[in-house]
Amino acid sequence: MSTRPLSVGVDVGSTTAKAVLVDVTTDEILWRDYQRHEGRQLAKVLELLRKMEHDVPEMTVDATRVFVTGSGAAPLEKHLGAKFVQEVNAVALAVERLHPDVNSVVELGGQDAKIVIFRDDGASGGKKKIPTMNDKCAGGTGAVLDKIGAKLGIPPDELAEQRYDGVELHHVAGKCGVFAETDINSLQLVGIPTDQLMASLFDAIVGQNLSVLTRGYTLRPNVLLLGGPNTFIRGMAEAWKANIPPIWKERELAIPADVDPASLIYVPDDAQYFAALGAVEYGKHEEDRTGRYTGLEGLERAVGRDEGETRASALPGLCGSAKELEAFKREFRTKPFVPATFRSGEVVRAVLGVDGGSTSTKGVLVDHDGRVLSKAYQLAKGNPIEDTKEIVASLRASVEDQGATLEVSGFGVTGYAKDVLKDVFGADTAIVETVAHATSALHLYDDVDVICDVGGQDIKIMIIHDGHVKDFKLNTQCSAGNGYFLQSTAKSLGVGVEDYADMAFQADSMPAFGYGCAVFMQSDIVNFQRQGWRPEQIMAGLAAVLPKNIWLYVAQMPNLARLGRRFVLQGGTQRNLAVVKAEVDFIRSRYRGGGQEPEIVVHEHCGESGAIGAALEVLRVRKDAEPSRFVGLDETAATTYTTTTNEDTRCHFCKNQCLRTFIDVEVAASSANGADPISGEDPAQRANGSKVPLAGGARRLIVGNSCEKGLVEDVDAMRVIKTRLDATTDDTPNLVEVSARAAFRSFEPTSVADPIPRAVATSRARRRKRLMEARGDLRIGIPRALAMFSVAPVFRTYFESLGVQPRNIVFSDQTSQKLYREGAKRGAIDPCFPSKVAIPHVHNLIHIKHAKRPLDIIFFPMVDDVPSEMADAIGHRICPTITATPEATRAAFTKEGDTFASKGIRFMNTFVNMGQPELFERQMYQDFKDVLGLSPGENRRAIQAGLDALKTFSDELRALTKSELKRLEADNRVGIVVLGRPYHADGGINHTTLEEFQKLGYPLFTPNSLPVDDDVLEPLFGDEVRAGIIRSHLDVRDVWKNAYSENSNWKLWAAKFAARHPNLVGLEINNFRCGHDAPIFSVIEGILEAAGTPIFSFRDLDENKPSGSIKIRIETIHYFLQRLQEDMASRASSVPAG
Amino acid sequence: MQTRGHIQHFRRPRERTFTQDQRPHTTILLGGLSPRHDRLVAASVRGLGYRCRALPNVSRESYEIAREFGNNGFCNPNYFTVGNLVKYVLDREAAGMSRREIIDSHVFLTASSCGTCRFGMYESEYRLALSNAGFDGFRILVFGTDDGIDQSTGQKAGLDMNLDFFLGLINAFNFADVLNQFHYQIRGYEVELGSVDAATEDALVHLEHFLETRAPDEPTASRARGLAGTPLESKVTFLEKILHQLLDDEGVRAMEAVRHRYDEVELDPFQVKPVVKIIGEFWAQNTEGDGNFNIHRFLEDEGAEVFVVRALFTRLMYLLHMHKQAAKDRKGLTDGRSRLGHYYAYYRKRALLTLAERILQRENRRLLEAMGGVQHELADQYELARLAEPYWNWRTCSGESHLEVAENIYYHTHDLCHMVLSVKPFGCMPSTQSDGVQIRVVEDHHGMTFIPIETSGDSEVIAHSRIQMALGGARQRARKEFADVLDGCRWSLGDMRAYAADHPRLRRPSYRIPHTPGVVGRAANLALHVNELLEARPAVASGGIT
Repeated sequence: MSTRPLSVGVDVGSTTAKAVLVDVTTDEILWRDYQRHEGRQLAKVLELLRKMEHDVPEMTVDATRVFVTGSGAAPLEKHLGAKFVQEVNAVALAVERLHPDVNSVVELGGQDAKIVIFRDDGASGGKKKIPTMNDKCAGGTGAVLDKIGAKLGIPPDELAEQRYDGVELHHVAGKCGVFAETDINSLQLVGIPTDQLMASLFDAIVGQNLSVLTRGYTLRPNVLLLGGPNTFIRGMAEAWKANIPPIWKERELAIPADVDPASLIYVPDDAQYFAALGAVEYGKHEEDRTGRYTGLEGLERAVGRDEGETRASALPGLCGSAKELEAFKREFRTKPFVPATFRSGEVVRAVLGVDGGSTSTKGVLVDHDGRVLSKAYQLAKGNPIEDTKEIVASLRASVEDQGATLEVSGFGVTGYAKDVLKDVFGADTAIVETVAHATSALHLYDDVDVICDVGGQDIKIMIIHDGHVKDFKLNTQCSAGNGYFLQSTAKSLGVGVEDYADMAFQADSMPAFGYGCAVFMQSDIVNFQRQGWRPEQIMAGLAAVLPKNIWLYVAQMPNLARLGRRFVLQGGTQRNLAVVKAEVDFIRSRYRGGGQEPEIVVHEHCGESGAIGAALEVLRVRKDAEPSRFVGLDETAATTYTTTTNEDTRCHFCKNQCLRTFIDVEVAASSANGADPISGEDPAQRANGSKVPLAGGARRLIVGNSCEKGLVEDVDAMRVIKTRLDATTDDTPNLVEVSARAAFRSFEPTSVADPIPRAVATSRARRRKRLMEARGDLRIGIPRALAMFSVAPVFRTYFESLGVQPRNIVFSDQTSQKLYREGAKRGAIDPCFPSKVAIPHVHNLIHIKHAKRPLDIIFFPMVDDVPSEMADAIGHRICPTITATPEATRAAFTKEGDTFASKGIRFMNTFVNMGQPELFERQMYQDFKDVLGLSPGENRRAIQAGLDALKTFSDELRALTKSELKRLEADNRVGIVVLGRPYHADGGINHTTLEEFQKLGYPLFTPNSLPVDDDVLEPLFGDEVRAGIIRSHLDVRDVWKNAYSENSNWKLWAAKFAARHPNLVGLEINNFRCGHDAPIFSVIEGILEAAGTPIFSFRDLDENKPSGSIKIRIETIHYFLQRLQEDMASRASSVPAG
Repeated sequence: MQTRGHIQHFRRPRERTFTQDQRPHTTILLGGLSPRHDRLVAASVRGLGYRCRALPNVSRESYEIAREFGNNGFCNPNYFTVGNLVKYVLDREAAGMSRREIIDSHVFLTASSCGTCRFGMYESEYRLALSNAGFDGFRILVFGTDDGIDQSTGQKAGLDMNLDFFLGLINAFNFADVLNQFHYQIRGYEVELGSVDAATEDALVHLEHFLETRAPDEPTASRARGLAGTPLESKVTFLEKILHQLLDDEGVRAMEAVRHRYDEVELDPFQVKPVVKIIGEFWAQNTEGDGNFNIHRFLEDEGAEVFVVRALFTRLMYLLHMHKQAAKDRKGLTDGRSRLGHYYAYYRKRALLTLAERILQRENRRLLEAMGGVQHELADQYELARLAEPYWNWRTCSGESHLEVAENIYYHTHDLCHMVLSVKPFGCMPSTQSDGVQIRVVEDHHGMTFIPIETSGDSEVIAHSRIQMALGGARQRARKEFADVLDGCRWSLGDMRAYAADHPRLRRPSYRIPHTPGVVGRAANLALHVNELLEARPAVASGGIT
């Protein structure tokens, strides 16, 4: 037998195991295989090695060494005598040997993504490797592809053939797998075809990796694509080939004219084996005794014992004993629903309620006394129209199968799909989910304090007071650990969702999951599987962590007694008794109610509570005699539709350029009644002049538009809508938007510049004269970002007053998805979105503004503190992220060569203490004296002019607010104080969410627009000043001790203002990773809640716009504010005149 | 307008005071530095007559508790430190103490600042989490960098922030800094597993005892009598204490005893290990255990030598430097005051800050020498600011400011490490930004290996994998460096090992191995050194050692 030296390379990733056997003298690959391990890593490796030993008899203990790599490989060291090699290093070694001409490698794995950039190292003459990996988030990796592929029902062989080239793309968030899934859900609900969804996902994943994982480096050619998704999914490779070359072009990388850039990006042979081959390569440089193969006995023993790594963080199972489980089930198992029975020939008059949710559709028939007659539930099949048809058919059959006849006397809808369903099938009411769920619970149960509804995507908590919803909490954009996650995990473990609870109850112990992020939980699952946890234990652990997501992450309520005593649990997810058990245990353990015990009820129609609420709403609002808009049962069954989404459906009425979907529905013409509630148009008329012909008899619904203008195709119809919108917005001031515009306008200062000297004697004076003369032509670009939303008037005026022409002060474009995507690839870090978007703004200045007409300077000052009227605060500092962003921005454009220098632009990031005028003056003088030819005197005057402009800016905003407040008081209406930071005025940062409130008729105010005149403040704060609680009207130290952050101080003060003004409510807005907001969350809530002032929030915003969650939130807030205004009006009318 | 009626508006929690009469039955709790720092600081506070104890080390459980009781979205140090305090009081309660007793008999002492990162807001988070956990009214004392103890009691303060207190802190910081660095510098080379940990524990006990029993410096009785009642009385006392601190060598002797204890440990210094300098956010780089993914131990298990700086003294020197530079920026800006007064105040401030710098440097150097002089001197703050200047404006004075950037360059260009690992906690605002700059720093410095990791309490496995990724290159560099050194030596590794076997002092922790420019690793520097020693021995024949 030959004794040639052999090396085994094993790569155990999060989803697959790969193994190669190599003759290290010839580098010949003698054996290779690649298989999914489905969580059984060790067993799969054993299977592969057994096969390897069988197929290659030379593989003896004496002749063989083993090198292992990958996230699941570490335990193999002890079982096989192997040596572990970190996977990125392994891949790099393989690439260096097999493809020495490669300069970049992109490897996508199941849960991680890696990029290796090879750069010439000037010192050594060799190449240095710059490896990067995703840090902790699995966004942008194969796991997301797998999960969404499975959700869309694409078999693996079809997934491999999905294309990118030539397929229509839609916006999908790539940052996070959960967000991506949410976007895909929404697109699917409006009928976007699967191939477009997958291509959009490829695009999102590539975009995410280019903007984050490259850390701003250029992926220089040649680019190697490795890893399962790149290797096996055609569209992934196409997406890279489409997205990388434009970056080369922008960064002026020389590619020979006769070479197709895409050809420099390729998937090599054996791409899936590179890490395993690299591990073998690593072994060549190790001492001979390293990695000696010890045979399979150790591994066999480990697999036989079902042993992985040590099982850390064990918790007892969900139930301590069979007895406890039995008692729990007795108490909480809902009684089986018994549908109503009917006599043959009976005419059953009932209201139909449908809840078109994100992951399932539910329907009920409710009689006129509010009793549930029949119900139906089904998982979403991809289109809500189709799903609803089936649900209605099922409900109809439940009546007609008994020989009775169903007469639908009303139709109510709720859920994500409510608007489409309302239009297609003619619903009488369409209410937001929160209201529907609360209505249902309050109808069925008395004395409810808290309703906790957990659906497929959303977690909703409604706090009830006197039979009315007093407050609500919704998960923000993140659907961490919700129902769908449990369901898909069960599926991946081979368990049906209906068997979840029985399986989970079998576990006597379970792993402790971290809560908060589903993607992290997904990582935890893989780790736990590797540690040997069994499926039922993992399922129990996931059920156990759900209450933490609900009560600690979403509600942020460590003591549940503060919410009330009687809890109703509902929503489809709480049909799962394992979840209910965890919920009940958690609520009891966190209920610190002074000797009281919480009372917990599981809604008897858990999954259908929304549909019931929708039906009850019809009963509430409709008079009996009023005919229903419902199209009819036969018509529902006969409804057909086609969807179209392509360039012809794109809306061109505004800069958003939304790619809309047209749903052309054919129902019986007689029942297609009712004008569109928003446009007032007959939907049938919408298709006039359309590029997409509308079949005769069909009606067109338009979805996917981000504003009302997109509801129509015809310009004249759009103008009608716009006129109506303008009328509303003109009458409803939005200080957020006004502030965002005013901050960047010219304040038309008078010149404070020294006269240009006629005669000059010295070279220094000549130089100064030249610089002074050049001021008129000097072009200065300023990013429209961060602190500029509050201090731009100072700088603009400073430059203008010194002679720079107003037209030559160029601000970057407004933040948009396009601007962000184009510039974000430069960024190396992942801070809060407002900071992250600064790099795209500078990119915009360089590549758009400068390209149009050259800029001389890009000015991005490092603002450390600002002028303030809050004399009693500790300080007036700006957040350190804002201050330092210009440095990170400079680095982004200079690390691979100085982009500014190559474009002839000077980047100036003057450090300024604007709150210390003398120092500020010195700082500007030092930096600009040799740029503008300044004298100290004119510099001082210009600084003063700038500070004066800042005051004018504030005064104008405050005057507007003051007059609007008077109107609100007179009319008993409500206005919204947006508790945010100056940059939240940026529509691209707030995702134009705030505009929606303006359209609904609520004026919006910002902290810096609230009036500070004594006549306004005295009634609000005067008593407290006199009582010595605060030193002045603008003092916040009664609520917040650490008052050194200027923007936090104003936010807190604005909350105090709103808490004391009867016509105002608070709307908090903040960004993910905001360091200065986190500490004051509870303070803001405390200020407003103590006063009984409604407080709503949009938290953790980032570059992703979670449209679905925002919509629910806006509609719910609108509902609340309407009730509030009604109460105010009724209180006012009950007060005797005079 | 309609009014909201009579409303009891929200107010921040009332702060209960800690007064002198409560001292005998009140325990001051400390936490938030490295475990060794916390222990020695607690000992120095006990030495002043207080009841004081350091909280146990942070754990994953601490983190989970803070997530439950605190605000969402906080930065990681705060999750761990807040949770650790809450965990401590909950454990006390579980052990049978009533909440009232716990609240009445404990105070927590923490540092603060007034901007710009949220470190200055930590105290509010402590109060919130304690309140949510049912310990409303638990006292948090804030030792601010600017304000000192923040309490206006009207009564004599429970904690007397006098010179003795500050000197005690300085000494504790100094001991712990030197000890910490020494500990990591040698632990990876120990022959007997656990011997360094045992020596460090003995050293800690010895230093705790020293700090607890060291009497505060008092003026001699005769001098006190002579100056009693005069304006000079307080100044003399002050000077006396300062002089005693500077001239007395009891601390040096205590440290020498520590060195002797360490020298009982045998090292195998010829192990080739990449030297990994840890930098990053203050707490994340200094804590040990779950708070930073067990980074120190993990690196050692992966075969690296861990290089930590003397954290507190570096921080103090940084603060002094920042104050000096900030004053310089404002020189001549009179803000309406007289020019004479302004310049007097400016030069006086400069002189005092310079004096403080010199004193700290001297105190630190004394302890380094007591430990054998094997540790690198404190990095010069002026050089650090110069190194960072092309990348990061030192005036951004939050978090670590320019230190992360500067230290990366400093330790690389001074050939003091093979790799720099920057540990940043999730949510750290300044540290995230400086990471954006480091990418350019790496680009500008050939051969630099730099890896940032973000500790979030989650995904430890992935963080470790990323470190392994960078460590692969560092390990290669260390091996190549050692091989190159051996290639240039006349003597073989076997000869050198034999020589070291005959000369136990070479294997002692406090043996000073000369640092050769361009050579980083301990083994490589030792090889060069032993080669020279062998060369210097005329009796040694080329065939072996006699």
